[in-house]
Order: sequence, then structure tokens, then C-alpha cells
Amino acid sequence: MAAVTEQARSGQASRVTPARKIAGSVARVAIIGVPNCGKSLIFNRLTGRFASTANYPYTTVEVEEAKLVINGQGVALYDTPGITGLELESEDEAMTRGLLRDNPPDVIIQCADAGNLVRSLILTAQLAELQIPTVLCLNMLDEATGRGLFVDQHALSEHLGVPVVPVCALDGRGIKELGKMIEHARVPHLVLRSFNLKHGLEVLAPTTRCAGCSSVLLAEDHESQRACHVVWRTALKSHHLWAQKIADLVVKQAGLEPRHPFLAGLANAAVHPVGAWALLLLTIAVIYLMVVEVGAKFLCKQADRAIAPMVALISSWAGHGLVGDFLVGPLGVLTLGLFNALGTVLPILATFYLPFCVLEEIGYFPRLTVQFDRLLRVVGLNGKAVLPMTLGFGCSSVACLSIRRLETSKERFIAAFLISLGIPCAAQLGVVIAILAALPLPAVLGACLAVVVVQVAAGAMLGRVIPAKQRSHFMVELPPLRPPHWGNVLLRTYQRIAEFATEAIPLFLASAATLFILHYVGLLDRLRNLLAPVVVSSLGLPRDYADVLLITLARREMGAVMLKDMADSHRLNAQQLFVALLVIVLFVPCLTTGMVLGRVLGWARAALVFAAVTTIAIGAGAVVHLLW
Amino acid sequence: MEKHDQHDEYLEAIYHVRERDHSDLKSLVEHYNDLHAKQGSNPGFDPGMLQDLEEHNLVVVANEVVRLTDEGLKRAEQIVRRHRLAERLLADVLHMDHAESEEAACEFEHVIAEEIADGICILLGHPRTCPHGSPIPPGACCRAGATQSITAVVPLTEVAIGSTVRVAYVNSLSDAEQHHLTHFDVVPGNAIRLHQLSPAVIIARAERMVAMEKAVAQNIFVWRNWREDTAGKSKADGETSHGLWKRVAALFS
Repeated sequence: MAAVTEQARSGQASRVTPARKIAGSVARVAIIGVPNCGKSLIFNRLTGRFASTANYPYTTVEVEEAKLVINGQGVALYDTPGITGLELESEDEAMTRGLLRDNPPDVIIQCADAGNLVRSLILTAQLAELQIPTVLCLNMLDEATGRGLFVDQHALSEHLGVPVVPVCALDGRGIKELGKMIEHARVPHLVLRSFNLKHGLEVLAPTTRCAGCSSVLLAEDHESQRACHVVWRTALKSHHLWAQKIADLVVKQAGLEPRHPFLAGLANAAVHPVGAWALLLLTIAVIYLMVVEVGAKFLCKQADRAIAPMVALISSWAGHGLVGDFLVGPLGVLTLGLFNALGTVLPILATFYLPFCVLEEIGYFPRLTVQFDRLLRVVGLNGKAVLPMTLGFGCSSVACLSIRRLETSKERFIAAFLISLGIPCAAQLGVVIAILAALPLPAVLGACLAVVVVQVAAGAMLGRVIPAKQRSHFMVELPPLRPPHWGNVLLRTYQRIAEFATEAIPLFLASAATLFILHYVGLLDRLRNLLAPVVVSSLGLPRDYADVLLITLARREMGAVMLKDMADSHRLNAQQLFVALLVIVLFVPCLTTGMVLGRVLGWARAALVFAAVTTIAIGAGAVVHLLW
Repeated sequence: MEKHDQHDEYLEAIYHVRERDHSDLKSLVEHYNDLHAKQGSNPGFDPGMLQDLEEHNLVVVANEVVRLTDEGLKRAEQIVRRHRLAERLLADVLHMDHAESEEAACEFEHVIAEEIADGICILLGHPRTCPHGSPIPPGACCRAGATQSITAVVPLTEVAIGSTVRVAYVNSLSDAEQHHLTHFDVVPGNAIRLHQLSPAVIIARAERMVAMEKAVAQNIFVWRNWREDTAGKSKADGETSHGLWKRVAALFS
């Protein structure tokens, strides 16, 4: 301990560097921190924006930028995906490292979790070597205090050589002070390295052409990384040792208070070999009931009641000519596009997202990784893939972005494939649940089983066929369950619905208009005829199911809504409905997801996924049609 | 230094160079001098010693290339094994300072008898890597999978659920894994509690929980009988280390 204080003192004497002058041009400020320490919440608080936040690691998958003015100074603020250190690892962390290496910010706000200081301090030690002015933002201090932990921020500031600002990002306390502190950011003290590390660096310096340890670690070059292997281990060890010493000095523990007993019990149940399944079933049942009883049966009826007079009014005004057909005909832009979105998808989406956001907020999802780790091995993945796949039930495109945190390209491909294949996004799932509610229970279970069987079969095959260079190991931190912050839950639900409204409704309108025009010029009929062999002969469905497939290409849920209309007008028998549902659930994801897949996997692979998924979807439908 | 020990030093250096897939004389000289500069002693590379080793049928030198004979390789493996086992014991288990433990390990490698090396190996549950991540050549005890009642260090998966144990060392498989475990504070000396083994292993440290697959947990080695005597304090407990010291000292006497 004496060594640490001594080092801090000597560091202070030799390295008091004033913050780089940031006045004048726009200062580039990056929020950096370990996963799940609240960076995005701080970003949101500073900017007044809503970047998505949740109680699990790696919620943020891309660097986000916002321009704002703090104390009369123009600031470009960056929110970054969490990093645990500066070495090469998942692509997700590569993004933040890329920012630090190629485009170093003027100031770093390092966000640290006060309840788990050691982990953040290891990163501090590595960041210190970049010698960028830094402010340490001590987040979740209230939670730590609640557990009997007290952090001496002044001592911490002295040891690190940078200002320390306690913040509670959840309710916004301390954010103003944090903003003010940006211009007082200071270059942190270098962490003393052990003799061996110094020696290692001297040996390595000529081969890697860089002086500092972190520059070695930031290098993308695999050879120099491998050369650094021994140095790296020693560095990690000494950084950890240093972090633990500092934490020992500044954190006082006054008896550990137990967490909320109910939440603690729930947290245990969620990873229990049996309890976990009971809890999962209960969760699914609650979501199902919410969507069916509240969403489909109550809210949709209310919305229909409000919309029906409008349709009547418009059709009486527009008549039955081209204009009337275009607006409120069977393939009208308003009926198919706007009213479907507002009257069906929106209420269902709201009732789905509310419980989904609660689960996200309390930190339930990471616990699913424990339960599914072994099962996912069957399909060549491991527990880590649960998070992206669960996110797929929210939005496939977000899920496909987050597969970047999987370590091997094999895992990324399989996860992307399975998300594209059988995981319906929230909007589609909601509508599908509403349709399923009309079917008898065995058919509902049968449909779920069929999707699972197809998924497992496809995944198991891919898992065997794709060669793996190395195996990645499953290791995930389980954040403590927190009582939901209702403001956050509502905000997040609202945000997702608003996203749907601004992003999907124009697409709804555009695709409805396209379909109408295709129909008007007679192309739609030709397309239907073209697809008839598949739709009518192989699947045994009416010719205009082709419309559903075409629309599904644009937006998954829009196809589902069209199918719901077909089902509501009793045009399909139970077998047909079953086949129709199976096909659209398995069918390709929407255009947005396609674009994301192209970016994440490369276009050739994305095209392969699309072709394979289409074939499997139609094939599965045909098989059920034959067997039933 | 006795001749025998000097042989050992040269064989060790040749083995290190061989691990990096080199066999030329130049790399050997560089490495040897480097190694001794690091230790503060600097006798300088003596080509005469190579001749000596060749006479003892331990190495073959031809065209500036130095190769170990079968006998030389066997002996070199034993030396490196002793050195790296000693490092594990001193650095991770007994928390000796890094520079200090390196020095001690260099001395150890010359004085530990083969049976004692096996004893340490069994005691530590057959570690596969040294603290720097270099592989420890397996001994007869590893191949036989020998366990004795003396084994004080066992894989985490073998302690009772709910017990709090102290990490002795981590037999790491990859840098990424080592990195994650360090971030989760799973490092030698820290106390962890085994929360459950199935469907995945979950450990708790303070209020943090980490889930991992069994294959990872099997590489975390912990002291079998260690109780957290001082509540809330998770640092090395003197009793155990002291006891072990005595045992190690007994091995030497």
C-alpha cells in the first residue's frame, strides 16, 4: 500500500499535466467504460437523448455521437460499447478500441461502477497509458451505498490524478457537475509497472515499434499481439494488483446489507435447474396473456371501433372509384398500411414491449444464458448467444447488430441464421400470438414445436458443417436483479413504439402503395400466378397468400397482419392457417434486418442466409401440408 | 556454480529457444545472455560449455545449429518443469513478489529432486501452465493422474456447493479467458463462493455473480479446506500459506 501512495506522490510530482486546452474548436469527448456500468444512461442524461439502455452487458453495439454545448463549449460526445480492456477480443470491443486508436478523443469520461471498482480500475490503468485527459465518473454510487460500500472519492481522485465525480445516472444526480468537470479533465498518472513488464517492453519495443504497453495492446497486428503474450499476462496481473490496492485504499465496507430478499430469491430461482424453467414458462404465459387479453382482445377492438367510422367516412367521401380503392379498398394504402399499423400492430406491440422492458430492466435476460448454455451447444453456440437471440424477439435488426459480441465467425453466422429463420420480431410475434389465440391449444403447441424443431435441425446441421477454428468459452456476468425503475420502463416502451411509428409506418404506407400499384397494372396477378405452384400446390393455400409473402419481405409484421385479416374473415381452415403461420414465422426477416446482416456478415453470406431461410420456410410448410 | 548446475542453465536456455521453434546458435546466445542479464548475474555465453554438453551426449551441434539429444531433452524438460512449478508455487500460491519469486524459482530448479517436484505438482493438482502462461512439461505424476491425500488444491468443480474457497491459481486456456477471469476478480488469493454447478457453474464474489461453463470452472484451482475466518476479508490467509511453507520446508529438510 505504501508503494501505491508513494507512486501516486511521485507520479504527481513528475506528471502534473494540465488538461489539454479544449477551448475554440469542438472538443471530442468519449464515454468509455466496462460493460454494463451505465455509459448509455450517462450519455442520455448529458444529451437529453434516448440511446437504448438495459440491465445487461453490451446493450450498446455501435459508437453513437451527439453534438451539444457544455459551459459554452461545443462538444462532440461519443457513447461507446463497453470494453473490458484494450486487447484484441470481440468485434464489439474492437469498435471502441478503433475509436481510441485511430481517432483519439480530446477527453475521456471513464464511467465506473462504484459497486465493482476493481474491474473499472483495471481499465483505468490501461487507459492511463494513452495519456488522454480523463474524468472518472463514479456511477451507481447509491446502489453501492445501499450495500454498505463507501467510496472515498477524494482519495481516489488523488491516486488516479484525475477528477472524480459521483453520479447517479438513473435519476440524474451529479450529471451537471460531470458536465462542468469536462474542462477540468486531467491526464491520469501512469500505473507503475513491475520490473518484468518493463523489461518485456524493452525487449519488444524494436519489434512492435511502440513504447507504451497500451499501444501494444491496441495494435490490431496479431503477430505483435502474440509476441506480447507474456508481457500481456504480466501487465494484466500488475494492473489487477494495482486496481485491488487502490480499491482497498478508497472503498470502506460497513457490513454487507443483503439485497432485496424477494429479488435475491428470484435471482436464485432464475438460474435453478428446475426453477428457471418454471419462471420462463410463467414469463411466457404472462406475456402471452398480456398480448392476447389486453392487446388483441381489448386494445385492438377499441382501436377498430375508433377507426371504423373513419374508414366509412373516407369511403363515402372518396367513392368507389380509383381514389377510393387506393385509399380504403381491400389493398388500399390506408386500410393496409396506416390502419393496420395503428389499429393492430401498435396496441399489440405496446402490450408486448411493456413486460419485455420490465424484464430487461430488472436484469432477467442474462440469467437465461445459464439455462440455455448446454442446449445451445447442440446448435454449435453457447450461452452467450442467448442475449442476441432474446433481443431478436424485440427487433431482429438490433439482434443482428448485437451478434458481433459473439467471439467466433462460426457463432456469428449460426446466430444470424437462427435469428433470421425462426425468431419473429416483437411486432410479428405479437400479431402471430393474436392469430394463435384463435387456434385450439394443441395446434398452438404444435406450431411452437414445429418452429423449434426446424430451428434445432437447421442449427445442428450448421454446427456440424461449419468448421470451427477455435472454441469460445462461455463466461457471462450476471448483473444483480434490480427493482424496475418504472420511469425507465415506460420511457423505453414509448421509445420503441415511437421507433416503430416513425420507422415502420412510412414503410407500411410505401409497401401498401407498391402492392396497390402492382395490382392496378396487373403485375400482382402475374406474380400470384408465378408463385401459385408454390403457394397453391405445395402449401395448399389461397393464391393471394402470395401477397402476404411479398409484403413480409418489406415488413415482417405487415405480412402477419394481412394473414390475421385472412384468418379473421375465416378464409382459412385450421390446417391452412397452421401452414401459413409456420411459413411466415420461418420466412426471411425484413429489409432492415437484411441490410444489417449484409453489414455484419458480408453480402455473400447474407444472401446465402436469405436463400436458405426461404427454402427452409417453404419446405417446412410443404412438409406439414403433406403430412396433415 | 557447479558444473552440473551450469549444464542445467544451458539446457534450459536451449529448451526455451526450442519452444520458439528456433535452433540456431545466434538465438541461443542472445537468449542466454538476456536471461542472465535479467537475473543480474552475467557470466556470458561460454561456447566451451556446448562442447562439454556434447561430450556428455546431451546436445548435438552442427552448422551453427544446436539440437537436444533425447537424453538432453528429457533433462531439459525436468529443469523447466521444476522452474515453472516453483514459479506457480511461489508466485500464485504463496504470493511472493514477482521479482523475488523469479529469483527463488531459479534457485529451486537446481535443488528440487524429481520426487519433490512431483510432490509439488500433485499438491497443486497438476498445473499445466506457469504464471506467465508457458506450458509446464508434464511429469510422470501428471501422466498417471496421480492424486494423493496430500492434494490440497483441487478444481473448483470438486468443492461442495455453497462453500467459500480461496483461489490458488488459474490453469488458463487462453488469454481471453484469463482476461475475463481477472476482470471478474477470480485471481489467486481471492475468495469465491460456489453457488451452483448445474446447468452452468455459477460463482459469487462479493455481490457479483458470474456464470461459466464447466470446462472453465475446472481450470480454476482452489484450496480444498479453507474457511473464511475473518469475515469480509478475502485476502490470503496466513495460516494456510504458513502451513504450506512448513510442508515445503519439510520436503527440503
